[in-house]
Parts: sequence; structure tokens; C-alpha cells
Amino acid sequence: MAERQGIDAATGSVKSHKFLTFQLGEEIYGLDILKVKEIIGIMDITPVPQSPPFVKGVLNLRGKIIPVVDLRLKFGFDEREYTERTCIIVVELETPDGKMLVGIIVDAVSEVTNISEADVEPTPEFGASFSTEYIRGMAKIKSKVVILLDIGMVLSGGGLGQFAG
Amino acid sequence: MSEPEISDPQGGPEKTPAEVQFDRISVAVLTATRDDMRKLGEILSSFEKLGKIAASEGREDVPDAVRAGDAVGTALMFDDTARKHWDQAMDIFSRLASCCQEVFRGNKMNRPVLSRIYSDIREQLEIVLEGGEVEEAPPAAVADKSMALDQDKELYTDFITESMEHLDSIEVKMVDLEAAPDDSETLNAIFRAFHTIKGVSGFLNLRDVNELAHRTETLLDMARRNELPVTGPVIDVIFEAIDGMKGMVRDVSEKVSAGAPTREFIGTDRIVARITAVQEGREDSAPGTRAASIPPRLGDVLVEQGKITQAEIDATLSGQADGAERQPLGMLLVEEKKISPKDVAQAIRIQKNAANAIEAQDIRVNIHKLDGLVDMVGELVIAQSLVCNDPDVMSIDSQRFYRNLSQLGRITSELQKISMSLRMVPIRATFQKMSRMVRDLAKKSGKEVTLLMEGEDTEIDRNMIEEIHDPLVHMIRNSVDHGVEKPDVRLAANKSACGTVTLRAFHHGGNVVIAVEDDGRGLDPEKILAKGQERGVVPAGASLSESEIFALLFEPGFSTAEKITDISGRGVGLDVVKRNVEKLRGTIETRSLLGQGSTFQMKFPLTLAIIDGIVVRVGEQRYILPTNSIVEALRPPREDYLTVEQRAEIIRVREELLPLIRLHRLFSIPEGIQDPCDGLVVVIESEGQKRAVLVDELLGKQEVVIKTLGGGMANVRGISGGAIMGDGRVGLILDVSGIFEITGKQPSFN
Repeated sequence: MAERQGIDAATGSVKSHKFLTFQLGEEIYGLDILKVKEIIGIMDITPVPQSPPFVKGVLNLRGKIIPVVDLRLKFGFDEREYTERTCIIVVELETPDGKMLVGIIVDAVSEVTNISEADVEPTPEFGASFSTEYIRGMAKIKSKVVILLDIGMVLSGGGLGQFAG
Repeated sequence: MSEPEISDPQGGPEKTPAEVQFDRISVAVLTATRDDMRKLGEILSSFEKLGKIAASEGREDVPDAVRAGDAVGTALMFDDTARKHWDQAMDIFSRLASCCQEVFRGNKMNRPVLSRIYSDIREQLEIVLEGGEVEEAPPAAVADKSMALDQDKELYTDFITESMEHLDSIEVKMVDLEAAPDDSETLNAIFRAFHTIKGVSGFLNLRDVNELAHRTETLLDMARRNELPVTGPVIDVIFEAIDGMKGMVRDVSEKVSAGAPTREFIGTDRIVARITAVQEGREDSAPGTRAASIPPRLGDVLVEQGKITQAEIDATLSGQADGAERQPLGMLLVEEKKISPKDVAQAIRIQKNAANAIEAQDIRVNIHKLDGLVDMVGELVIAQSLVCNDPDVMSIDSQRFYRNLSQLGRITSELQKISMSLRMVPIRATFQKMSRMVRDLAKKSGKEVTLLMEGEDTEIDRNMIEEIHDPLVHMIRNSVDHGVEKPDVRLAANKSACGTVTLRAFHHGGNVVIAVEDDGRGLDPEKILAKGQERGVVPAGASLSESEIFALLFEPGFSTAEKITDISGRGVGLDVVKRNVEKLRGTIETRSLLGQGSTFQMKFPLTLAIIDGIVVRVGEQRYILPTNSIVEALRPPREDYLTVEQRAEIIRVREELLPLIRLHRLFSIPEGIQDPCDGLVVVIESEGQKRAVLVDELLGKQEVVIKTLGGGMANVRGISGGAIMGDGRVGLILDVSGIFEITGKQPSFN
């Protein structure tokens, strides 16, 4: 442990994190693996009335009811029919009320990859009309660009009130 | 009288530091109301300062009085029983202060007078200081006690459960303390728990428990004040005291269930002696390890019974240890003819009983583990039904297989029943505590009040019970203090002299409702409104509905009590109740008829509770309607469907006109039956209002476990929670009053 820290200190800041990458349309996104509880296939979701469209409803995760958010809709993409490859990534968020589990629906899960800080570039400015507060940065891996998300910010960014509908 | 050199005669501008403290004491004594802890603190600190001043001036006689003041103050501070003598204590304070003053002024001539005053005070002092001790209790308290003995078996029962809980929590904290002996917070927590037990046992005249608690408390107090290091023997002896007290409490419990309140126990001398030994630093007296002290050792039992002396046992024991094969002590003793076999057998029985008794009837389990268990059992039931209904399984042609399958079914459903009940407890215990409180409150305020209880068997989540306790206490205080009138007033108003407070609990529409009802003077809306305007809570001239006016009562700083009593009426209370209730996502509803009484209804959602529900289908969605809120279900004939301005829809049900709520429209479900005469109309009721709800069909009745809809979705209006259905999917439980609220605000749905 101490040794690794030493290396880190010696080589600047080559700290790396494991990220789970997934697809939304043509874009690749990354999530801190520590936030991911599990990945499940698409399953029956019970719609909850009075909630925003991107909240698909709730599902039964082994006896626990958890809300499910369709990330495509949250990001304003077109709705797409769920397929064999559609996954629900269950993430654990820290909230003032304690930990909570939320499922996020993505087109497909790609891989778990190491991304070092050196590969991460800060999010470019896209102008006032585009909020990037929940993007932690952009990582270049093998000619591809992974958009690293702060999933907590994604789901609570507009305030949990919006989430609750 | 000679004046001291430095001080002017009365009214002089310069005051000595001591004079300043005297003044403070007298002012505090004069202005302190009963149980005013802040003032008490001032008095205490003044005495402390006097002590320092006296020491710096080299006086020896003053600290005596100072110490006395300090002792009285401390007793009042920490001992509820001593606080009964508040007025005497205040008197003592002022007399002690004037004694000190005389001494400080150098009035040596008054020495004999002084000593007489001292001895006089000391007598009073003893009464106050011994307030916590049963032996010296003043006559008033004794009368109180004997009445309690006759009347209240439940007092003992309460004491038993409470002290057992305290002792359990002490045990847990003791383990912490052993790990971190310097943690003053843990030490304080343990001290407080013992203190509570001491207080209650004193009140119930359980001398032995009281004595032991008192001794242990003293020991802990020394540790608190760093006069005694918390070493292994100290911890051991406290553990011993815990065991001893548990034994005594169990003893009480046995006697209570046998019908006779008790004051007897085998004696505390052994443990008390050990505590004293530890206090004096004689560490060797702790017997063996703690593990060995539970249960009592045979030798100890025999010695205690006086069958044999410790010396004889020691002699035998040393022989036993030398022997290659360890023979039981009892056998050795009999062989050596020191004791009869019968005595040994008896002692062994006592020992065994103690060992059995030590095995707790309850265990404490982390609530998350429990939740996990309940969730998994629910899943097991679903998995079991999926397996049983699987077409491949159904095609198996084997008697034996089906026998086993149905056995599995029985076990799972039994398991489910047990797991459901784990967290639910009847509200009875909480209610019973209230009955004691009502009696005390009524006596204090010179009223006659009977407490009626209904629905004590209503089951409620254990966590909820703890949370509900405080608001409930407030509401009952409010009813007894402000609601119920004094007997003469009641008689004048043609009511019976004795008022009634009714405490009611029931499940209603997926909620637990707890109502506090009194037949007292009722609330005067006009008076409340006037007060609200006076306080600026309501703008002048605003017109409010009656329920809005009653809601003002729960605003911060609002009190209608004309005089302030020590029970309630300081204007704090109801707003705290509201905050507590809202924290539990509950609501309070007030109904009142002037002159006839008031009802406060607290409605709480169930975090984990089973409700009876009717599963309804709307389009492809299923919803659960709490059975309690359903009046009836019917398919209305064409002529009973009416519209108003072709917009608002009404269903006529036996001369009642009920607004129609289309669930599929309300919840934006694309499919669903459009024509009410094709579907089914369910009449639901909430808070006295009725509505008709259009659904596609009823799927059946089901008991479901209410679960919250994960984070962020907890407050969806119209939905009180979710339930896992038989196929593993989530069904939403409808919140009837929430639906009424939404539809009330969107007239197009009506």
C-alpha cells in the first residue's frame, strides 16, 4: 500500500480508478465501479404515476423496491425499445438520508476498465445552454472517448425534488 | 454586631466577592420555579465559588455550609425523588447562604446560634438527601407508595421490562467501557441507566434493587469523578451487580405474576461487600473471571445459604485443584461429610435456575438484518409459488413429489407469517404507560380523569412505537391539562365530575391512526383565531376554516392556556408534536366541539406493516387499495352516471352523489376501460369524504407488506408505498387521502 502510494507520488499523479463503461446510443460513458452494486438484465418495471418521464418506475430487487431511471430519457435521447443487451446498472448513492439504491437503464454494458488520471481531460465548455456539472471529465482510451459521469450528480443534479416528481 | 472592616453598612457601593455570591443565591432561590434546572445550576456554582473564596481567605467553618449546599444541589440535580422536596431545598439554600454570610461577616459571636441553625438545617437536609432512599421517605411519599402497591401491578410490570432493557443496554455499554475505560460518555450513560433503575425501584419500594443500584451508582460516580480508575475488577463487580439486579428483577417478575408484590430478595450483602471492596481498592475480592460469575458458583450458593463456610470450601477446593481428576465440588463436599447431599442438590438447583434465568428471552438484532430476513422470506414465498406453478413441475406425476411440495408450501407460509410478525408489536405497552401518566397529571392538576383505551392490540412497527411515544405524551398532557376541566366546572356544565380521555389506535387506509379524545371544554375557534391575529400568525381580517384555525394550535409559540402550569401551556409542545409527527410523514387532524370535547388524530404511515388490500387492475397496471378505505364496489347502471357541464362526472350510489375519479386518467395509463358502466366503480372513503374510483376489475384480496419506494420516490402523492406481488413484480399501494387531495385540486378530474 505504502509502496504504491510512493509510486504515485514519484510519478506525479498516475492514480487510476476502475470504471464501468456502458453505451448510450453511439456514446460511451463511464461510472466509478465503486458506486456499482450489480448489473441486472431488463426486468418488469412498475410505472409510478406523477413522476417525471425519465423515471421508468420501480422494480423488485430481491425484496427491496428501488426506483429505475432511464438514462437515455434523462439525457434527452430518443426512447428506444429495450433489447437483450439493455441492462439495469444498480448504483448506490449517498444521500443526506443515507444510502439509496437506484437502477439506471443503459443500452449495453461494455467493460470494466482502468482509467488513470493522466488520461482524463477536463470537460470542455459547451456554452451556457449545456450543463456539464455531472461530467467528471473525458477519458481517451484506445482512440475512443469515455465520458465519465458523477452518477450521484446525474440523479440528483436537478434536485431530488425533480426526481420525486 | 461588628461589621467587617472592608464592607460598608447595607447598601454600600462596594461588595465583596462573597457578597456577590450571596446575592446571586438569594435571587436564584427567590426566582426559581419548581424544577428550574438552570437556576439550580446557578445556585450550585455560587456555592462552589463561595467554597473557593472561603478557602482563599483561610476560613474553615464556611466550607461546611458550602458543602451542605453543594450536596443538596447535587441531590436535586440528579435525583427525581429528592426533587419532590424542592421547596424545602430552596429554604435550605437561603438559610445556608445566610449562615455563610454571617460567617463571612466575621460574626464569631453568633457561633452557638450558628450551630443550632446548622443542626436544624441538617435535619431538613437529611430529608432532602435521603429523598432517593426508601427508608427515610417522608409520609406523603409513603402514602403514595402503598396506594401504588395496591393499584398498580402494571407499575411493576413496566419496571420489570424497563429495568431489564436498561440492564441489557448497560451490559452492552459495559463491553464498550472495558474496551475504552476512559470514555466518559459511556460511563455517564451507564451511570444514568443505574440511576433510573434506582429511582424507580425506590419509588416501588424494592429495597434490594434500590440499594444495589445505589451502591453501583456510587461506584460509577467515583469513576466519573476520576477518583477510581476503571480497572478489570471494577468492571467485573459492575457486571456482577448487573447479574444480581437481573436476578432480583426476575424475582420481582415472578412474584408479580404470582399476584403478590414483593420486597424480598435473598440479599445484596455479597455484591455490596464486593463493591465496597473495589471502592477501597481491594482488587483481589473479585471472584474469578466474569464468565465464571455467571451463573453463581456452587460454593457461593452454599455459603450464601449458610450451609458451609467459605473456609471449608476453600479447603476442599484446594484439594480439588490438586487432584488429577477434577471431581465436582458438591461431590467432594459430601464425601468429606461437610454437607448433606440434600443441601448440595438444592444448591445445584438454585444454581441451575440462575443459569436458566440468565438466558435471555429476547435477543437484540440489528434492524437491517431483520429487514433483510423479511425481504428474503418474501422472495422465498414468491420463488416457491413460481416453482409450484411452473408448467414443467405441474406435469410431474408423483404422489411423493406433491406431498413434499405441499410440505414446502406449508413451511414457507409459516416462515412468512413469523417473519412478518418480527417487527410488529402491539401498541399496548405504550398505551399502558400513558395510563400512569394520566393519573399523575390529573392528581397534579386537581382533576378527575379516567383513561379509556381502545385498540391496544393494534400492531405497529417497533421503531414507530418509540417515535410515537413523545408526541403521544404531549397530546395527552394537552388533553388532561387544557381539555378536561376541573370537577366543579364540569358539574356546572352538566357533565360528570370525572373527565374521560380516550386513547384509540386503529389501522385505517394503510395508516396507523392514534387518536386522543377528551370530553373536556373543547376548542373555541374564535378565541384561537383572535390569539392567532394577536400573535401575528394570521393577518387580521383573514377568514379561515375551522380546521385551518385548529391547525394554528400547532404553530410554534402558540398557546391558548391562560395560565402557565408546570405541566404544559408554555406554548411549546404542540409545535414539537407537529414536527415529530411530520418527521414520521404523519399528519394531525383536530376536531372539536366547544363545550363537548376535542379529538386529536395522529395518522402515521406504516413503514413496515401488513395491510389488507384489494388488488385492482387498471389497464395493464395493478394497484392495491387498502381494504379499510373501501366502502363497496359496483357496476353502475347507465342512469346513475351523470355529468356536470359535461366535464365533472358523478356516480349516483343509493341517493349519494359521488365524484368519479378515473384512475387511468389520473395516473396517465393509456389503456383502461373508458365507460364507467363497463368497468367497476369502487367507492372509497377517507376522512369522511367518499369518492367513486373507476377501475377495470378487481383481482382479489391480498395481505401485503408495505414497503417504501426507494429513495427519492418516497413522497409520490397518491401512492403510499409498494408491495411485492405474487409474481415478483411491484404493485403500488394507493393512498386514498392523497388521491382525494390531487383530484380535489384538479377539478377536471371530478
